[in-house]
Parts: sequence; C-alpha cells; structure tokens
Amino acid sequence: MPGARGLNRLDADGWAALVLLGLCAVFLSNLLRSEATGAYVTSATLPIAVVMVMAGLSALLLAGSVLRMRRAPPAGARRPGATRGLNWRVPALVAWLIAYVAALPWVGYLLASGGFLIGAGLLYGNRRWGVLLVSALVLPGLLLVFFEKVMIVLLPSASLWN
Amino acid sequence: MEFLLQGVAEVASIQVFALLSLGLVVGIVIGSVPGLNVPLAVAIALPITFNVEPIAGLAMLVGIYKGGTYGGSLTAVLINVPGTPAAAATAIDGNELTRQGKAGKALKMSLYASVIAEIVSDIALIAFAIPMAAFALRIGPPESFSLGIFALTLVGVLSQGNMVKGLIAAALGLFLSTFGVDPLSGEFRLTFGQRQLAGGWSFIALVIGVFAIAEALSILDANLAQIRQKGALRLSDPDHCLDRDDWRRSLPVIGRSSVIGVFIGAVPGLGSAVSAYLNYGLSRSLSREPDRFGKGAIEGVAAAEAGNNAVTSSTFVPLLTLGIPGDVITAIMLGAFIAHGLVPGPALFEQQGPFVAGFFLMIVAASVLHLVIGRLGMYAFVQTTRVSNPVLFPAVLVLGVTGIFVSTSSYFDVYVMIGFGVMGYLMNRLGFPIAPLLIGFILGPLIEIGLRQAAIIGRGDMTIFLTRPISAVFLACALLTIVVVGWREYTDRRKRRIPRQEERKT
Repeated sequence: MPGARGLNRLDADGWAALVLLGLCAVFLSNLLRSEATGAYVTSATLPIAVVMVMAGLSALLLAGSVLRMRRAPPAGARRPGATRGLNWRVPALVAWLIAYVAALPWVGYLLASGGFLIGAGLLYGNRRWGVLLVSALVLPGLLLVFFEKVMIVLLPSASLWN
Repeated sequence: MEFLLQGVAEVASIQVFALLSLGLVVGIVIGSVPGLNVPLAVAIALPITFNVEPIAGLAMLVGIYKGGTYGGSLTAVLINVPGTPAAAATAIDGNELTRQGKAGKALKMSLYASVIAEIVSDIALIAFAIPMAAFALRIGPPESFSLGIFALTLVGVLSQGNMVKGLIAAALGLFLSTFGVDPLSGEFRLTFGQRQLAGGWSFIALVIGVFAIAEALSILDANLAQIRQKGALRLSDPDHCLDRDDWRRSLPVIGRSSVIGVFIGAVPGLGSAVSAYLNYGLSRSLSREPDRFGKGAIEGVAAAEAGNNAVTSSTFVPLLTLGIPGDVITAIMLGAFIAHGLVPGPALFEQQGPFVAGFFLMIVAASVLHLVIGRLGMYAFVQTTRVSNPVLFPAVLVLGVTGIFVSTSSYFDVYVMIGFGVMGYLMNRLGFPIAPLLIGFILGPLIEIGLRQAAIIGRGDMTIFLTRPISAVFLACALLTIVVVGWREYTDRRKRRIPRQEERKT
C-alpha cells in the first residue's frame, strides 16, 4: 500500500508528530465531553487551547518531515540520534526499574533495593562483584538508617513475611 | 543601623550559630538528593525548633532553606540530575562545563552567585521590606498572568535552534499542568477515572523523571561506562578556577538576576524555579553571545543560581510585614513563629523590635556561613566525578525512587516518575528540549489561575491585562522578547543559508 510505504519512509520527527496528533485527538475528545464550568473562561478553556496549539505544532513537524521525505536525502545525511537503533539495555533497565518498584511492598526496601542495584549495575556493564555487593549492601542500609532514624520517615517494609 | 544593633544580643550565641550551621549542612545534603525537597526537611525539623530559643530554632529552618535551595545545583552540575526543580536551569550549562572537565569552575560560580544573590536579597529584606510588600500587593491575577506569559516567551530562547520542538515541549508542559482538580471550580479534569490523578501530575516526579531517569537511560544507551575523572580532582587546577573573563561575563548577570529574583521572591506564589528560568532565559536573550548558552556558558550558571537564591530572603517580606506566607516553606515557618508566640505582621516590628533585628542579622550570618560551608562541602561533592557511571547511575535511580516515595508516599507517583523518565529519554533522542517542558509545567497554574481570576475581576473584559500598568509592562516585555528572539532566529537562518547557497554554486 502506498500509504504504508510512505509511513515507513517518515523520519523520527514524523513518527513523533503522528503520536502527538493521536494523543491530542484522545485528549480533545475527553475535554469536549467534559462538563466545563466557570465564569467567562471555563475549566476546559486553557486545556483545549493548549491541545489545539500542540496539534497545530505537531502538524507543522509532520509537514517538515514529509517535505524532508520528498527531498529523499541520502542515508548518510540523516541525524544519527533519530535513526540509530534502540540499545536493548534501555528497555531492560526500564523493565528492571518497574520490577523493583513492584517488589518494594512485597520484599521490603533493603532486599528490593539491593537486588535492583546488582541488576542495574550488571546492565551498566559492571562486572566487579565486590563493588556490586558492597553497593547493594551499603547504599540501601545507609538510606534506611537516614530516613527511618534521622528523618523519621518510614520506607516500604516486606509484607511477604510480615 | 541602630535598629539592627538591637538584635546583636539576640543572635550572639553559640546555639544560634551551631543550629544555623547544622541547618545549612542538612539543607545542602537534602537539596542535593533528587526527590528530597526543602519543605519536607523544614517540616521535619520544625518540632526540633520548639525546644530552643525562637531565634535559634528559626536559624536552623533558615539554614535548611538557604542550604537546600543551593544544594540542588551540586548534583545538577556534577551528574545532570538537579536536586531541586529550580536547579534544572543550572544543569543546562553547569553540566556542560562538567563534561568539558571544568566542574570546579561551575561549582564555584554556582556557590558565589548563590551567596552574592542571597546577600542582595538580605539587604533588600532589611532595607526595603515595607515598600517591597506594597509592590507585592499590587501583583494581582492580571499581573500574574502577564508575568507568566512573559516567562513563557523565553521558551523560544531555550529552544536551542528548534523553535517548533521547543514550543511543542512547552505546550506539553502547560497541558500536563492542567490535569487533576480544577483549582477554581473543584471540577475533575483529564483524570480518566483515576483517583490518583485528582491532584494532577507530581512535579517532583516529573523533574526526577525527565532529568535523573532520562539521563540514566541516555548514559546506558550511549554505553558510557567509563570512569569520568581519573585521579583526584583538584579545585585549584586552572581548569577549575574562575578567571577574570568569567567574572567579567558573570558579574552583571548576577547583579541583574539578583534584583529580579528579589522581586519574584517578594510576590507570593512565584518561587525560585520561576526566578531561575526567567533569569536564565533573560540572560541568554540579552547576551551579546547567546550561542554560548547551553554549551557551557559560565554566565548561564551564574544567572540561574543567582535567580534561584535571590528569592530566599525576599520570600520573608510578605511573611514578616503582612503575615502572609508566600510559599510552602514560609507557611511552615509561620508555624514556627506562632509556636514561639510571635505573630508576623506589622505589629511584630513594633512589639518585638529586637527579635526582628536579630532575625535580620541571623539571615545575613546565614549567607556568610553558607559561603564557608559551601566551599568546604565542595571538596566532598566534587569527588562524585570520580565514581564510574555503572556505580553512580544505579545509585541515582535508587535515590530517585526513594526520594519520590518519601515525598509523596505513593507508588503511583513512582511509576509516574518512570513514565516521565522514558518520555524524557525519548525527547532527548528526538531532539526535543526539556527546559521548555518544565517551564510550561511551572507556569501553567500561574497563567490559568491568573487568566480566569482576571476575567472574573474584569467581568469578561480582557482589556484588563492592558489597562493595569504592571500587567501591560510584562506583556510589552513578552512582545519585545518575541521580536528579539524571532529576529535572531531569522538572522541565524540567513547566516546558515548563505554558505549553503555558495556551496551549491561552487
């Protein structure tokens, strides 16, 4: 299909603009359905105005991307940041971070943070187990003492073994 | 002068200086940790102050406030992770200097600009408290709206050559600030049925996400696993010392940013982040070499830090003269005053003259001690440049998660922080500047509340923004900024186009 082929040729800016336009449509439909109140300027006026502006600017970004696509620059002329592939470690670290936060209420602050530090250190390429273990023990311990004893703020405790 | 001498007996005690120093150290540490905020530290320290003399207790709170406001710049400069939202403006040029191997220079300018601005703010509080309070009272909703619009036009300055992306980022920030309960009608907006979104997006989660998490992901993406600084960093090395040229560029900027910051601090509800960004943007737009900004301009660090710290004493203007706290920190301090039987307001000056004089002297002493403690602490903080990224960034992530949890006690906000982190990482990758996003988020409530309240005051007549002189001045400044920035953008494009056309001809 020519449309799909055209989309494939869009650069990263074009894709970003399309995502933004989609988000604008979702938010605009939500705002238009809401019962806005207020004298002269309602509670929905500013959000709607901002979404419209954002949609207009995204359309401009998309237009720029389409123009660049038509000019079809040589592959070498493309910006490296926008076209290089995603390093697998990035989504892995995000997933590890989510797993860490999810584990906090279950296994407690010390264990979850220690585990996270070791895993994240390995993802960053640290292979010195001594350093990994020391950081996993010392940092969460120090933070726990600082917050719970000095600042009197409770950190998550392990509900799994009460 | 006679008035101030009354206060010498109040402050001349070891207890006052010990608690002031302790407050400064705690403030600098708390301010430098992403996620931990100054209001939290002041609130926790509040009960401690009940058991000591009123001036000693307040000294500790002032120390935490001043130290915390400055402390955010340390991690902003060293690892591009601002400890406080206001320090995000410092990170733009400060971290760039660190990448160029000039961390000491950025840290020193950050400290000296902060202390100079604090002293200017102290003098303004002592000498002009009452006229400044009168000025602050003239800043109503139309003026707040116009000031917000003026500050927003500086987004163009901070867009770093890509106006469309900068404006999209600013609009996104502005839009994100409108989520949650409407501040005027109490109506739910854009919550999608989520109870946790009733209070809107957490600002601290946004800041840590788009800076700390995004930076950690970018470092991982770029495989920058090396040790950043080999060997001990010596602050006396020429690369880490401020030279004549640095001072020549920075002193006028510090002077201007301090004065503007003092006025912003005196107006309730604006705060240090608005001041830092406004001054950074203004300094860039007024600079003869705007291209230096964002690439390690020492005057950029000076503008942001002077603007940030100039508010610290002037926020006491509405508190002491009118009994109105201008922000969360002064609201907590109002509690400390009342707990000691002191009621801020005009009567405080008449009934508790020696105490007020002592308070003024203590605030000046805090600025001087800040210089000493900040200079000593710099040796310790600068050592973070020796820690390798694989050790440093996992620790930064744990600190970020811990900080958000401690500040908000909400797992939802921790997930929000991760989401904003991914967004910040993608924005960095796609060339969208982060600063306009934060400016939009900070200015959103100011602009919206100002607009709607002004519309009510003017009974729907929007010329109110032009008929009120201060508001009209701010709008004129906004227009001027648009013209100047637009003209610069146009001439820059022409400069870029001419060599390209010549290339084609040849």
